[in-house]
Amino acid sequence: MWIIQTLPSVLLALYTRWLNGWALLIGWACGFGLGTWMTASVGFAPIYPLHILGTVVPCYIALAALVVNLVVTVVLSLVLNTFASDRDRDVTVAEDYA
Amino acid sequence: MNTTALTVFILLFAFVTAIGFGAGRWRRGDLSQLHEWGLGGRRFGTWVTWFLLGGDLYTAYTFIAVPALLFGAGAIGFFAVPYTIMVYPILYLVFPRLWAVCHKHGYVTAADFVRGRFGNRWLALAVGLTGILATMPYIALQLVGMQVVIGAMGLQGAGLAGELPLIIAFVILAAFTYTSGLRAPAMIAVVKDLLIYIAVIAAIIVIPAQLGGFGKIFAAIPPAKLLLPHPPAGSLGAFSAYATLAFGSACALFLYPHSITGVLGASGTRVIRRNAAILPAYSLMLGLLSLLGFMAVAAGLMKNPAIAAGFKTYANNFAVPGLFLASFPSWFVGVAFAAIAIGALVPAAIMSIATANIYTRNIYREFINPNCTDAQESGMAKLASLVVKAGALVFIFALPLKFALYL
Repeated sequence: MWIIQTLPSVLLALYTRWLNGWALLIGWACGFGLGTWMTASVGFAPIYPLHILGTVVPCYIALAALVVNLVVTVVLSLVLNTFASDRDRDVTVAEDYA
Repeated sequence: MNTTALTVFILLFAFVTAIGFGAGRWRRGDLSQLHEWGLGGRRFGTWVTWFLLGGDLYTAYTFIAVPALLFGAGAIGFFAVPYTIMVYPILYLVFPRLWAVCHKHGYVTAADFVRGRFGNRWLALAVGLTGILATMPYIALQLVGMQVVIGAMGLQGAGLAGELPLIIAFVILAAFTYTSGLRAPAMIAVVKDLLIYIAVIAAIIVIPAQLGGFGKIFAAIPPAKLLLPHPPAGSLGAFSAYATLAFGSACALFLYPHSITGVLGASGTRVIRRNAAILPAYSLMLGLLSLLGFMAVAAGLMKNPAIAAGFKTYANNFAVPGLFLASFPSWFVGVAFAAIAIGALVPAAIMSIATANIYTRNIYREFINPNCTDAQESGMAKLASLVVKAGALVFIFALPLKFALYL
């Protein structure tokens, strides 16, 4: 449930540099904190019963926390990219990935 | 004590120890460079990578825990099979890109890539620390696998004497990882995987024959455990738990430092793509292996007092060792148990190398000694691999077995 929180910074970053570095860091912190809290609240089991529109959806905590991580990262990237873009700090170029 | 099994076990263990120490000379490189020690010089071809990643991802703990889950909880344990199938399209599509960029810029860890991509050392630190934190309990779980088979051969004692075999095994592991780096688990993985395939194929042929066929085995499983129970009204029950477990685990698997280390050790993007095609062979084996959990139910292991005692100590994790003890002659039990114990060494070695790479690159060189030489960097990684393993050993002795399983 911890390692999946690095998915946006590592896997998505292989495809896009639109996400903001600081937004990724805050998104990571949210996912990490929430995932840890959910795990502790169900007595260190992997499944948490989400309540979605009146239906109980038992869900793997890692995945639920990753969704929160992604939402925070995308929203903050939208905001931060308007006035504090960090895209000029990328030392890789498109050809490096092929 | 089971002397025959123990003798076979010790002989096989000594054999892989010799391989581990000899591995440093294989395709010799300058081991005072971090990418030589920690990635085997990025020189592994298709077959070595296949054995290495197979040995790395399908660990001793998997072989113990997945059948144990079927034995105890039933069908939900099968999530491991779709999980390890869904992971390969991800490997095929995504990871050649990671290999290419890491090769171009000399990156050794995922956090190295994040550092270069975002120019943000704090984000890189978060990624690196997450990797270390997630791997530590994983190494401890490998020890659980080893502990169970050592115990199953009758090597039990009070206090430190009881833990001695595990400590010896770990000191050997630490020594050959230190001297040979990633080359050691890569070579040992070949032996380990062959032994595992032999043990699983023998089990899948011999045990059903003893128990009267697969029909009898499945008939012995209570219906509630044979299929996922139908969800109650207003809930998705075990259905969504099963699906999210499989999908989430598949998304996470190749982010683990030991997976990334295995991928980056490959000699090219073509090797990774080919491996995405041939690694599912292990998932087929895992599917067969998980059925051992059902066979353990059908075999009525609890009626055998010697084996029931093992369940008392190791709970459901004793399902596979107990089944082998009940079904095979001692010498073959030795082979199968050696396969499991060596199956713990390979991932434990790769995990400790991977976390040592992270500590060295993303903490030591980034924050403590930015001007270190290549030799200092590699020396620090070797030292860190020792610290990580000592940490895992403390972990397992200080915490009760129960807790280690839930981390």
